[in-house]
Amino acid sequence: MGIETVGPPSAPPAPGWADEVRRLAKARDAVILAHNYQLPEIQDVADHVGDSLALSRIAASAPHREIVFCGVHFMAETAKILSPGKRVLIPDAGAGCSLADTIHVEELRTWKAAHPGAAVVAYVNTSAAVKAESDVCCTSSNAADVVASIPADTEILFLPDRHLGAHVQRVTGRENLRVWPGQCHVHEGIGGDVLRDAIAADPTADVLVHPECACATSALRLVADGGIAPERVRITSTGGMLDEARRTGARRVLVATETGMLHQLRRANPGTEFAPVSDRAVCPYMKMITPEKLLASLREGRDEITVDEGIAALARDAVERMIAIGSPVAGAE
Amino acid sequence: MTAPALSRPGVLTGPEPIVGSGHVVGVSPRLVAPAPVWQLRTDVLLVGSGVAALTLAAELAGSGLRVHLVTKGELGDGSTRWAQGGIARANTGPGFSTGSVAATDTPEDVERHVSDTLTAGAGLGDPRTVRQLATDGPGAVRRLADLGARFDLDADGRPALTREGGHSHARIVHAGGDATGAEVQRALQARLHTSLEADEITVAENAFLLDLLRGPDGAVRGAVVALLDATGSCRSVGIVHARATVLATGGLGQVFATTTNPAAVTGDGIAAALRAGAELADLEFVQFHPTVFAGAGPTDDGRHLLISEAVRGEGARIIDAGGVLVMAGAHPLADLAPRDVVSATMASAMAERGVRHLYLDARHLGEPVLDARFPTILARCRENGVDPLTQPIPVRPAAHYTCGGVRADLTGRTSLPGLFAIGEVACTGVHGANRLASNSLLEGLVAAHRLAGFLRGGGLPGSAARGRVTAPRDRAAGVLPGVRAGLALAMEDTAGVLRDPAGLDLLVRRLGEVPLADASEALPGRASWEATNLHTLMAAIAQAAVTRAESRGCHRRTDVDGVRSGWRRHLVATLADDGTGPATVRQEARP
Repeated sequence: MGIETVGPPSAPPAPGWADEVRRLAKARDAVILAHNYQLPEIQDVADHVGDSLALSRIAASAPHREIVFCGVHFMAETAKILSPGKRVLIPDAGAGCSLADTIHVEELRTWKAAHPGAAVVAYVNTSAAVKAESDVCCTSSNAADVVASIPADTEILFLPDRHLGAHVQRVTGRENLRVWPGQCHVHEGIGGDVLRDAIAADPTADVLVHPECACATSALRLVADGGIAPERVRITSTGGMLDEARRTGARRVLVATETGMLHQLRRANPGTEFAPVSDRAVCPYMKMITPEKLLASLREGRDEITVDEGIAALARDAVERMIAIGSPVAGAE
Repeated sequence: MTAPALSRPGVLTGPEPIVGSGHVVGVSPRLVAPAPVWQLRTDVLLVGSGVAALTLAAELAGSGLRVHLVTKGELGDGSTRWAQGGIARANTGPGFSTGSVAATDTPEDVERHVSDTLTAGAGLGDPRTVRQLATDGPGAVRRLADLGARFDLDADGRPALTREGGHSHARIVHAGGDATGAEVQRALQARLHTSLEADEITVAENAFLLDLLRGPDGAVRGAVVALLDATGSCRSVGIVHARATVLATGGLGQVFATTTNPAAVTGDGIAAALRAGAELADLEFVQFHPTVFAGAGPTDDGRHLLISEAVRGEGARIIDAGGVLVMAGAHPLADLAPRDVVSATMASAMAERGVRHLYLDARHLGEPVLDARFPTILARCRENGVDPLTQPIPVRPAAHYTCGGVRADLTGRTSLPGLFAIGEVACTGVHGANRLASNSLLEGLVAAHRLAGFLRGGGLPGSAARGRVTAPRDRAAGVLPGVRAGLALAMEDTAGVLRDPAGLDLLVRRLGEVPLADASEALPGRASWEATNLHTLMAAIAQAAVTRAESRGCHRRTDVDGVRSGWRRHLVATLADDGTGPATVRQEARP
């Protein structure tokens, strides 16, 4: 049996798409922000590209009336929390986050009730409701500093990422730190075996590992076992990865995080080859923001993000407490 | 004719030489069907209508992707609605309802759910996949509640939790007492009707998956589908072109003469995947439920009435015709031992006595208990001439759950691009050699959610390539429906709860002797297609069962007690691409 079939190709952006996006943004007085894990064409059309917290801070300080956030839902929510007077749009409100989904505010309330007096440290990958129930937020770059700023005899509930939590525990040596068992669908897939295979395939390459990765512990073990020289491995946030990319002289760098990050790293340093540890590390929620949806978002003014003002105020406190701790925010998810 | 063959290779790099029959079983290379006369195009072809299929349909609604759902009977003919236990999910907090806080809610329960699942899996569960399942569990149940499923609540308005065999902790949510599956099916079908009214999906009932289609690049690009009339005769055959083809067709319980699975559960998706070149794994691990009613044949929809474990929980005991307690001394928990232990003890007692069933004695429980707790069971037994108040209930073990299936990750990705498998049809490494109670609905929910995200976020394969799509092989062949019942009995006797190598050798030989009718003799229709699919899977199960020379999880060999070192590996079944064989069951060590 054989049947001829012709299907429509998945459309690349139409010619003039970028110009039209920029024209509409200007007409709306909107600033376009894109996360590091967005599609390359979205990153290229945006006014600013970065990690979620850096983008939220840009959002708060930008003079525009509107923010179009190309990222996942909690990121746009965080931007709204920090700029309550502005209209915040996301091109697809269905772009969730598998990590933020692992803790519901009711679950957090239960956890807190079982540990009265504990301080709650929430990674920025959480819903506004969860942030509002937390004492202080953190990013992957300042999580250890935030934890260290809490009195040593205070128990800490750290959420929701188990791998980042383990990393913080290692760095701070803190024993009274309890970690929520969440993980991100993308980073959980970059396990120790995947990292070992990638390093074995190119034993001379440098390695950058995001602390959310399931392989972060294995990376340290590899160093300890002499499997790879310590100076060739860095466990760092996406912001830290960019700093590394700018200064590295390595021929090739293996990157363990979402593959969208490669676009920024390559732009930062065209002389080094950046390759993914796993080419399956693609966040589907990030990729729900397509060129067509961005255009539709600007044309139709959707999807608008709203956050209950009471929740927003409490969540804002948690974020501002983090900023007050004073660590420069170079990277966050 | 040359049929692609399911055989065991002569040499395997296994832990020890493989001793077995060496017989080759020819199976159908392609189902016999009339030429296609219609075609349609969709983004996602979704086959099935149980928990996995309908969850995926719900989560793709509104995404802009065109979804075409086909199901061979009516919506929900499969196993989901009969699931009694519930949905296991780590008890991290109330999650989907407000209420007071219980001291038992802790995030550590994710770890315990992982370890309970791996313990049940007897060394073959994949820790990473199991962790994914446990981590995503609370969210999956929350989303189902958001869709409208109503779970049983306790007096404080929190989800009422129960504990089942193998669980270290009460973490199972349930609905309608022991009718969880029915509520899940109801809620998801209600959601589907909303999608239908909004034109977010198209649905074809009485549409039978025949074979998968592959493009020139080897990717699966849709399927050949037959439309049936009410009697199961073929009305017409057509082609559904799809960028992604999702199998959510459930297990293969009807391979065995006695099963708790409805008549629709004939492994059509697993067999079609095999013919298309996909890898199957862990097929020897079929979980048996110890007690179904043996006083009558199957119900109209092919199931044997399940006599819930809870009846034994209330004090009923398994006895033989002479009144001897069968489970006494077999296990410290006696009648409440794990399912595989009870089933195996019963099977061996039946074999010793040369009988086809034993009895469950519930007479001493009295009418108030039976009437209040088990009204359905009481009524059904009485309808069939057995009064549990005065007579012991005839019972026997029955095939219940398919741990193996189409190899896939928890996002549904199989060994073939464009082909996805979610729910019971898939073998994701979650269950290993034995499934933990109430993990099956959970797996369907979690895998469907992950696949929905993948497809919505750019994972949908492109369809730019122009080219011919083809069914897997040139020749078609079928098994005549008349052989099915006899083979299902043979499977039950020989590859059922207890398996001995000599019997399995004979079984493999017998399966190899089943004539494959070509297009001129085979009468296309649901009955012959199901018989053909079942024959293919019987061969695959028998080959795997004869190869695995140990007892592990729900695979019990009479010649080897317990697990053997070096057997912590999977048996992977494929058919050769060119259709000429050699088809293999190969071993693969766990990493």
